[in-house]
Order: sequence, then structure tokens, then C-alpha cells
Amino acid sequence: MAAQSHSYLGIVRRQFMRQRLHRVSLYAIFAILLLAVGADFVASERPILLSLSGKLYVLPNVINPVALRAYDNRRLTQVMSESDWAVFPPVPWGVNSHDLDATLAPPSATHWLGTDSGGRDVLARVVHGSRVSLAVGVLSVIVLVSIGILLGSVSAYYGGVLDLLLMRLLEVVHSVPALLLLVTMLSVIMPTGWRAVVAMMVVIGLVNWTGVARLVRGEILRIKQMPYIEASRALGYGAPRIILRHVLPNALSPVLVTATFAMASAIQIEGALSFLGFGIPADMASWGGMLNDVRGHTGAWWLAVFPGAAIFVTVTVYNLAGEGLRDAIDPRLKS
Amino acid sequence: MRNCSRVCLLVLCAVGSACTHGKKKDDKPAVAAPRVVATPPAKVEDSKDPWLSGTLPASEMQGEPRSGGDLTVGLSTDPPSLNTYTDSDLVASWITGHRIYQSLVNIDPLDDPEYRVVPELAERWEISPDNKTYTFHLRKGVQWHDGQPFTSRDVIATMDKIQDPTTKAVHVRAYTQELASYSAPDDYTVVFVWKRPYFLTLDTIADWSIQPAHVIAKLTGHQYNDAATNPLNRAPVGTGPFKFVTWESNAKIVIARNDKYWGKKPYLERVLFRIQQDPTVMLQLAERGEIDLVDHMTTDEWVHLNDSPLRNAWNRSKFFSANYGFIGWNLLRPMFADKRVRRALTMLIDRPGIVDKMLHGMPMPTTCHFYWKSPSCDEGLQPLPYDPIAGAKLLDEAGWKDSDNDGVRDKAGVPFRFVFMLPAGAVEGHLWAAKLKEDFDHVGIEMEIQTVEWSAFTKRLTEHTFDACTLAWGGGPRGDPTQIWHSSSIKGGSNYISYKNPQVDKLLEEARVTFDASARDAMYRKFGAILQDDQPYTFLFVRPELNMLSKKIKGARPSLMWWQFENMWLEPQAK
Amino acid sequence: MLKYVVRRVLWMIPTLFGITLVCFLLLRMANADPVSAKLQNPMRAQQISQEAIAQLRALYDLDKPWYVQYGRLVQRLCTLDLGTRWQDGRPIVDVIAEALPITLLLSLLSITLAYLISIPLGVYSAVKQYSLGDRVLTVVLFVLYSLPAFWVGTMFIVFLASGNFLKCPWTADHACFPLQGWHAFDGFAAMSRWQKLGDVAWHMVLPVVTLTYQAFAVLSRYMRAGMLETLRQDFIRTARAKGLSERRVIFGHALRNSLIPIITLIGLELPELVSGAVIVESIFGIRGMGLVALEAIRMPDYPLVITIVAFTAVLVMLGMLLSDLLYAVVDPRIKAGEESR
Repeated sequence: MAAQSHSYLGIVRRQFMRQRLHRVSLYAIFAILLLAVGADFVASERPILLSLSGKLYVLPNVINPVALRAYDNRRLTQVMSESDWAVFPPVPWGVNSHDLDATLAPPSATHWLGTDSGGRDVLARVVHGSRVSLAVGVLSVIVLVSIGILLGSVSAYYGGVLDLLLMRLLEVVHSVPALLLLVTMLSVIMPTGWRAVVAMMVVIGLVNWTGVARLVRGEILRIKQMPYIEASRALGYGAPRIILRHVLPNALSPVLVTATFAMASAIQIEGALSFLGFGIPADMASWGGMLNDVRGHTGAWWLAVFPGAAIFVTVTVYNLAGEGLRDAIDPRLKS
Repeated sequence: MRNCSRVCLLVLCAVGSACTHGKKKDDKPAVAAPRVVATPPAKVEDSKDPWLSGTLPASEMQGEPRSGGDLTVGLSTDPPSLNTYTDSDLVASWITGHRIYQSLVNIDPLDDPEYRVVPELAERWEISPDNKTYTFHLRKGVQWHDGQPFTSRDVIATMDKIQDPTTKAVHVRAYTQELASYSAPDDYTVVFVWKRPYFLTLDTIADWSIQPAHVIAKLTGHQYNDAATNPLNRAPVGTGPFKFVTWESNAKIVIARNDKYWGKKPYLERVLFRIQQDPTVMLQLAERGEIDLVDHMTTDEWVHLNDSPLRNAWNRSKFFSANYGFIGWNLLRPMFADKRVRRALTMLIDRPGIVDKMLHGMPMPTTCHFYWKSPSCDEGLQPLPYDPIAGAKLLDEAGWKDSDNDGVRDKAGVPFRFVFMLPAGAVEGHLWAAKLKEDFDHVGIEMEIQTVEWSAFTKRLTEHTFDACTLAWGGGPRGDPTQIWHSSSIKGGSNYISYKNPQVDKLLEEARVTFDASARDAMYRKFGAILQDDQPYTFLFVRPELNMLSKKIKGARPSLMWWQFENMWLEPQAK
Repeated sequence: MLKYVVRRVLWMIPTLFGITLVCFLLLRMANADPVSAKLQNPMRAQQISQEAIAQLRALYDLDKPWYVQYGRLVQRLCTLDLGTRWQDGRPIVDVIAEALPITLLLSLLSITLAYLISIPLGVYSAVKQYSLGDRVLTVVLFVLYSLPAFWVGTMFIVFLASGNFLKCPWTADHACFPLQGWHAFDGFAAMSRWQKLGDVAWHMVLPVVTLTYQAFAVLSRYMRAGMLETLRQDFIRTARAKGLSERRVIFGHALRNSLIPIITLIGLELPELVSGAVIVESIFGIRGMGLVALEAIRMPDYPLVITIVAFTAVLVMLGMLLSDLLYAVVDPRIKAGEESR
């Protein structure tokens, strides 16, 4: 017992890890993160290590050396002699490798999860799609939670004109269609590649902070009336200190629940927007965009099942972990 | 890219295992054999099978025409209105043009590939020797569908509305700018005087549907535009072989035989246009026999039906109309200003692979701006080959080499990077654009794909603020390329890529006033050869019109002018 | 109380201006040109003179400074002279009158269903916290919440409605559910009232399920959390100590308090009643407000976008007012005047 930490974080960690499902979800999140970071090692059009004509190339899948620019795995196996060797990634296809001999092919030994209508490997694209999803999810939630907490807490604590203005702002933001904002933004900045992902992320953040703000505001209005806040006010503490030290931590647990749900929903919104055909360019892999390909090919079940399952799994583990976290930091659950 | 021989080529062998050693080879080839011309795919298509090749069987034209019956046509879009002067819409013009409304003259829809001009509301016409004055003698005894007589007043009222700057007939008005005057000396004569002679004058007039003066003459321009005040926008009244019956938005449009028609009356009792945006449902309706003609199918649907039992009850029609898809290179950009670069880019694009493997071998390669069957096209002009090695060599020659060794070609400090702009909703375009990116990437050209809403797309086209884009042009049997290729069309016209060639300008100007068709065709063939050499566009392909017709339909012939319901009849169904 | 409501309603006017102005400026900022988009047929090279473009721009007020154009839009909105849709010249009133009932049908069904299922479920799993039922329910709700609607809709299409996998041999195309639309495409007008009802219901099954399951999962979770929260309060402990039966503690005391979180959500759901669900509408080909709005934004059709936005905004604000009032009704500790004090 003595070795166990009694600090707040320690308690939270112990509480969290107590449930197997929560533990699993945490590991799954790490696994998805790892997959996103190391996508090039799982699926790439170039080998991880290559010895060609006596020259050793280290990590050509990541650094994309000039000399190998014209080569991909298929081409390399053609030109390699016996003295040459290579370590290929388990999925020898890149995110935008077209195998024209297998367009819209069902799962097979060559393409484990089949191909899309351009002959691109579904597995490779699912793996690389994790990058887009995670980037959009994490960053847009950071944006929306920061805006929501800041505006929600300030307006609720001070009340009066500030509160009135915030409520109006909430109404304005809530009434502006996200698609309008996105379409305008895309038409003005004309983003390509990853910049399109950033644009999408900002739009999702800008449109979806109202839920958090309302929640924080509601919680604070409730907590404000509790005796211990009045006590700290009587002790002469300043407003920022009271908000930060006493009010916010108490309001935070519902926010955390909302934030994890927001994370999940941001990933879903990105998928939905890509599904509608906005934003993510055709050469990049987005799970929602991959699902869009099903629309013309209702027989290609593999196009519907795998990218959707990827979104589903990601969203589920985030929800699970968030739930675990909620239970863990809620002080009222301590026995 | 110092070594241009290292161009990546598609190799038909796939890598299966994760970690392998190179195979033992007798002599290591430096480069795999280039797939200059795609190996012909193992096509299921057999030209002898009319179902697969999409030719209507000869029996389809045989038999004794019989009167009566309803024909249901599946359409994928609801037209915005049925007034083609307030809304430029293809579906509306198909339904109303020469069917409900008529024009002074018509282009004979069954006269493929010449499509000569024939009389319609005008019995005959005279053209002055200077080719500027056209006098039309109108047919007598023609009645509007509501019973009023047709006279020259109707023609004048229609022209008034086209010319009225407050109506939305903007897209038609542009063609009247060359019109000096129009007048009606008597009830059955109309005279058009043009500022300049122009070989397409009659074609232009054939496009103008004549509307009833007793409906439109009293309307102001604003009232004319508005569906609430102009009954014609939702319920056209014409003189044609069919009259309008009803229109339920997004559901169906019904037209019926005009029993008082002055000409040969149609056999069909009614034609119902069923609007169904979802192609899958459309096919289901077809399977259930609720639709007799499926119009404008996609390639995917077509291929999907290759082995379908539908072939027992249906015919299919594959018809290459007057259209072509292309990639336009903005010549204002330094990398695309050089002809060699443009030729190289064309050669780097795996068009055979795209057509055969991605688009099921359906589209037809082309190099011609005009209707592919027309004599204005030079059949001998073959597309540049798919030859990445030669393409890369050409890029080297043009000075685009990777001098700073960063993997991207450059010249004078400008890297070969560009953005390829596509309109949202161009599904097949997005499919092959990604392939383009991969192919260019392998030779050291960085291309980014950008999807843009149509309204933003057109704005950037007209402002010339794009690098490369893809579009398709469509048209009729004859066309005047001035709007697209003349240097005067860079500002305000459709010469979005800023193509400027004095030789082409001169040829096009001459052709406009050449009334001898064969002389004009010679000029246009010369123009085609210059385009082929210059490659301002990478000409891609002509896309087929794919239709499926129930076997009970007789007398149908594919045409540039869509289906001629006037000539169709229905065989009684043996149940 | 009445004074408070009046003040809130009066506040809506400037807010409405703010909302329409923001949306108008977004449209105006967009690097898009509705006139050239309308004139340029995607397949035809049209001869279009600059003069003609100028005329069309004038027709749409696009040649005027932004404040004049906005002023005219507001003027028309106030006089309810909404004008016509640019795309096809149909009166906007007609366009909305056609799309709104479809959307209302879809969303009312969905919201009612979501609340009807989620309140009892939430109460059950809170009261029986950590029981087997609660655990199973938690897992199921998680799964439902984590299922993206566009995936579920797509899977429905592929596996249930396409006729390729699940087959119902008694239908003409072996499909068990209709692929598209909210009623049969043919012969709907000729059906009897009951046939119509059955037909619409059959068409609505997949869209309503797709639209509902997520909302219902969220609501259940909120309900459970709210109930748990309430059950830990002192007054519940007091009630129990008083010897009240568990049933009375829960339904008499706890339920009322724990409804607060999900009642705030009612107000927020209201705008979704009319804004429609773009995803579900586009998957199932139901031409409701969502698709109309999407097309208007893509055009961009200024009057139509502004009309839809203003319409939705009024409902958003009414919804927020409603949720605040309900808040006051269920939780007397929060006085209605609090918000704008």
C-alpha cells in the first residue's frame, strides 16, 4: 500500500486501469497512433531497406530518395538481381498506388482487403487513412474545447452583459451551417493535400464548440451557488483563481465526457464531409472518402465494410477510453 | 531526375510477399520493356453480340408501325424549367426542342453524320447573294397547341424576348449580336438581316424555339423570367408533334401526341419522362418493366449489365456523340508555355490504361475538336502514344531537369509543381486524376489534386487562375471553334487556357465565312493538325451515350439529337 | 416570467441580423461566381458576351456593393417576398413547401423515437448501475454511438436494400427495402390512405433508423449520467432515509432532476427538425431541406441560403429559449431570469 501513490493522478490512473475494457481501449489508441505514425512501414510503395547494385538504401519508404523516385515495389522486383535484396513492407502498396490489373477487385492474396475502382489497395488506404482521421479528430477537439471552456466559463462566472453576448454568439454560431463555412473556406484558400485536412479541422472546431460552452456554462451556474464557492469568495479570492481552482475542476468531468464524444464525432464529421465529397483530395486516403466510392458500386461490399469498420473501431476506443477517464477523475466515485 | 531511363513503367507483375530476394535473371534489364501501347485487354466484348457492342438489331427497324401506346423514358435529372430561354438546360431542350416547340428550320436528326438543315415552320427560305439577308416563308395553317394560329408575329415576339436585356435569355442572346435586324413584312414572311455572313446562321436559327406571341408578347422581361407569371416555364405551348400534358417536380413529365399536328403525326399516344436520380432504382424500374428506355447510363451500370438476364427483353445502344474530354494546360504558366512540355505530359499519361482498366474500355480516344464522324476531323490523326521514356526525354530537352537534386524537376529555379483542378462531382475525373498524380510523381513532376465547386471552378477558368484542369466539350454536328480556340476568346470567351496562335486565328476567321463545306472542312483539318502539334489540350476521349431500350420499342435510331419519339412505335407485348 | 420571455424574443431580432449577415458575408467572400456557373453549361461552349454577364449580374443584385445587396435581401425576407430559386426559377416558397414536410416527417419520427426509448433505458441502467443489464446496455450504446451514420446508411444500402445480399424473393427486385425516396415512385397517388401510410412507413424504416440510433445512444447516456448524478445527491439520501419506497424515490424525486441535461438537448434538437439531415437524405435520395440547402450552398444561391439560414436560426433561438424555460420548470433552483441578469 505504501508504494502506491496517493496523488490525484495516481488515483486517476489506478481507477482507470481497474477496468479491463478501459485498459484495452487505451492500448488500442496507442496502437492506432502507432499505425498512423508508422503507416509507411506497414503499407508503402517502396521497401523499408533496399540493397540495389551494391548500394544500400535505408528507409526509402520514408525519405523517398531521388534515385528511387521512379521505382515502386513492383518495378523493383523486376530489376533486382540475385545479389540485390530488400525488406518490403507487409503491404507492398502505397496510398496512391494504382494496380490497373485489379480494379475493383474483391479481397485476394495480392490485395488482402480488395481494391477500389482505381485499383488502389484498400488495406493500404485504410492504414494511411488513420493519419487523416486522427489529425482531424485530435486537433479539432483541441480547438473546440479551448474555445468552449474559455467562453463558457467566463460568461457564466461574470454573467451580465458578457453572458448575454455569449448566448447571442452561441445562437449565431449554431445557426451558421458548417457546410457553408467549409465551402467558403475551401473556395477562398483553395487548399491542396494536407492543407485541406487542416481547413477541415478548423471548420469542425469552429462550428462545434457551442456544446462545450453551453455545458460549461450550465455546470458553472450550478456550482456557483454551492456553499464552498461562496466560502472562497468570502475568503477574498479573485475570480480567475476561483474559476480555475474551484469551479472548473468541478465542471470538468462533464466537459471531459463531451470532449471525448466530440473527438469521436469530429472523426465522424470528417468522414461524413469526405463522404459527401468535400475537402480531402482524391489522392489522399480518408475513410469517409473511401466509403464514397461505394455509391456507384453497391456490389463492392469490401469498399463499404473495411473503411467504415476503421472509423467505427477508432471512434469506439476513443469513447471507451473517455468513459474510463470520466469514471476515474470523477471524485464522487471514489470509495 | 538525372537518368531519364529510370522512368517507372507499369510492370504487369505484382509483388505478393512481404520480404523477398530478387529473382535470378540471366541478364538484368536496365529498364523493363515500355508498355507503349497497352496490351489489348481480354475484352469480354464481342462485336457480334449486339447486347455487348450496343448496336440496335436490324429487326428493330422492321415491321408495320402501329399507332397507340405509352412510352416511359427514364431521365436522371429534373429540368429547372421547360423554357430554354430562361434556363439553359440540356434535358429541357431535349424534351421541348422540335418536339413541343418548333423552329423555323430543323437539323434532320436521322441524317448521320451530315445532319443537313431541313424546313420546319418555314416552308422554304432564300439567302441573299452576300449571305447576309435570310428570308423565310412560313408554313400556313399551323396551329398552336391551344388552338391559336401560328403567324410571323410569334417569330417576332420570340425574337423580342431573346433580345430584351431584362430577360434571362442571355445564353441565346449572345448569338443574336450579329443580327442587324429582323422584321415581318406580312403574316407569313420573316426577314433576318445579319451584319456579317456566317456559315452557321441556319444552325443558329434551328436552335431558336418559336414561342406563342399570344402568351409572351404582353409580358415584361421580369414577368417573362418568373415561373409565377410566365406559364411557359412550367407548361410549354408549342406547335410540334407532341403537346405538353403535366409535370410533377422530380417525378414525371408527360407529353402527348398532338392530333392536330400539321406534319406526320407520331405513332405513340404519350411519352412519359420518369425522373429518377438514382441509377440503381432506374435499373430496378427497368427490370420491373416500368421504364421502356433508360437514358444516359453510366459506364459502370453498362458493364454491370453485361451478363444480365435483361438482355432477353432489352436492346442496348452505344453511340459516340459530339463530345470530348480533355486536360487543359494553362499556357500562362511557365511550365506549360513550352510545346515540348505539353507533348511530354500527354505522352506521360497512361490513356490506354485509364480507358481499358478504369473506364472498362468504353470511351473512344480522339484528337479532334469536332464531331468525330464529321469530315472536319482528320481520321489519320492518331493520339500521341503513351511513352513515358520519350516523354521524360522531351522534358529533359525542354530544360526541365532535376538540377537541385530534390526529386522534382525544375528550370530556372521554378520547380515543376502544379495543381490539377477538377469540378466537384466529376467522379471518373477524380478516379484517373489520382493515377495521373502517381505517374507524374515517378518522373519528378509534383501534381496536387484540387476539387472545386462548379461555381468556383468556372470563376477560376474565366479568370485564368488555374494551372491545369479537366473539362469536356459537347456540341452539335457542326461547330465553330472560334469561341474556344481564337485568341480573341481569351477574354470573355471560353479560351480558358489562353491559347494564342496567329495561324489558327486566321484559319478560324476564314472558315466562318466559307460557305463551301468541303473547303471549310479542309481548313478545319489543318487546324486539327496544328492543335495536335501544339497539344494545348491533352485530348482524352469521346464518351459514349449509353442507352437501354425495351425490345418492344421499334423504329429507334440513335442520333446526335437524342431519341426521335416521332418515329418510334410499340410492338404489342406477348404476355 | 412574461417580461423575461418578451425580452428574449426581442433579443432575437439583432441576433437574426447577425446570423444572416455572417452567412451573407461568407457567401460574398467565397471565391465563386454563381452567374458564370449558371451560364457555363458543363458540356457546351457557349458564346457569352460580357454584356450578357453584366445583365445577369444586375438581375441578381451582384453588381451592387455588399450592403445594398444585403439590404435588399433583408427587405425581401421581411416582406416575405422570397423570390425564386436561381437554379430553376421556381418560387422559394414552393421549394421549401415541398421539402419541409418530408424533413419534418423524418425528423419528428426520429426525435420522438429517440426520446421514447432513451429515457426509460437511461433510468434503468442508472438505477441498476453495474448490473448485467447495465453493462450490456452500456456496450450496446457504445457500439451504436460509435457507428458513423454514413457507414450504417451505406451498409444498409449494400446489404439490405440492394438485393445483392439479403434477398426477399417476393419483391420484384429481391430487395427487402426500397433504395431511394420516401415513397413509391410509381402509383403513390393512386394508393388508398392506408396503403400510402404503409408505403411511407416501409420507405422510412432505414432512413429513420439511420437517423435515430445515434441520437438515442447519446440521449440514453446523458439520461444515465444525469440519473446517477441525482441519485448521489443529499436529498435522495434524505428521501431514502425517510423510508420512501425506491419507486417513489426514483420516479417522484430523482427522475425530475435528472431530466435536466437531456431537456437542454431538446432545444438543440429543434433546429435539426427543419435543417434536415444531409447525410441520410443523400444516401437514401430523400429530397428534404438538407439536400435543398446543400445545392443552394454549392450554387451559391444567395436568397435561398439566407432564407433557409434565417428560418433555421429562428428555430434555434426558439429552441434555446424553450430549453431554458424547461430548465426553469424542472429545476426550480434556477430562476428563469438568471440567464440574462
